[in-house]
Amino acid sequence: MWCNVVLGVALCLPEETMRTALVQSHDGRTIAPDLTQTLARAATGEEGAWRELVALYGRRVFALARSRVGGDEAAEEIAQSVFATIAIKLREGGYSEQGRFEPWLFRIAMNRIRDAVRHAKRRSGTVALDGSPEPSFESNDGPTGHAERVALRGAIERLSDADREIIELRHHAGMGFKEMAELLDEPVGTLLARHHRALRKLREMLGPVIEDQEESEGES
Amino acid sequence: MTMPHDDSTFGELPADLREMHEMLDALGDGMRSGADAGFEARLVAASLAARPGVDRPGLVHGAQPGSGRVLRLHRRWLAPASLAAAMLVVASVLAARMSSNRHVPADSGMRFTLVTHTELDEIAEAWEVLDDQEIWSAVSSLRGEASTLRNSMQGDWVSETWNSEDPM
Repeated sequence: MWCNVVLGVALCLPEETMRTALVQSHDGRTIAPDLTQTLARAATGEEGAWRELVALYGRRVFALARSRVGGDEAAEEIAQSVFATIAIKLREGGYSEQGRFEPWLFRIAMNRIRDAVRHAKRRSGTVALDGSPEPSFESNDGPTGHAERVALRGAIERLSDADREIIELRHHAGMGFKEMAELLDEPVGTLLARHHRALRKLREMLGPVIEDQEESEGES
Repeated sequence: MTMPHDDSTFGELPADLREMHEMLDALGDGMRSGADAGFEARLVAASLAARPGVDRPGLVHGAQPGSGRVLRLHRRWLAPASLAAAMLVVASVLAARMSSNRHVPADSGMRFTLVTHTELDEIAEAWEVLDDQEIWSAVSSLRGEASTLRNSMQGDWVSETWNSEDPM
């Protein structure tokens, strides 16, 4: 049984209820208790906890890395490096959960990606790895055709660094604006405006491709 | 289309930008599903195997038939693997010498056993690093056999018998 005094009245709740209730960090952030518990279990090296963390974030880190580095293997290597770093930090008590896990994780990911891009530049003397082959996702082709995808990737690469970052964090890493604000240390409103502007730029760059697509769909 | 983020601004966008938003979501879905089936298992393995001081671990590979990926050893296994490989080379050289010296006269045989004894000491030193009792007892046994062979070769009957054998 968990007891506390709220407005002078003793309030007692079963522990089970407390485990499923949301908790608040010192600065008022709401933390999903599951993540808090998962991180605590992960810190002890529990495999199940790592499976949960990997299921939540693994492919999102992979996608973010894949958008910047050449090839699935390089992207996976970055993802593994990120998770290994997190494992070490959690075990050493280098992170305390205050609702900032996702921004923390993606900050590590972005640092790793920058390192990889810098390393590749040094090695090849060429501009990064952005000319990487189009990833194959035949299994999940969706409504967007191959030609459109190639054009879209090309257009994203032509965006400014700041705009590109927003697009990739939002659509590849699947981050929320609140988490992005935390990660990039910018107000949410600024990021919303930047996202809107980036969408507009992409629409302008891809205008002819989309119109061609619409025309060919109309003819068929 | 499933996006991990739950604060979608999709509804507030004009129609042309909604289309762009959908295209980007589809591209993101494709990116996330681009990793192969064993991806999660390898990530879990890398997390569990992570050790302080190794902030850039090598790529962990699960058995993914046909994935075409190159196997890279985790750094912490490189030192023991190198030692084992070196020992294997020494053992191979030793075995080759033993087979080539089997039918030589006794004086060469004496030299061979002395060399063998020295090399066995070297191997024993290397194996001591691994601190494996089983290996150590095997080394002791080999050393004993080599010692017996050397002692027996110092006797007259051995050289006579050996010298009279028909070389194959």
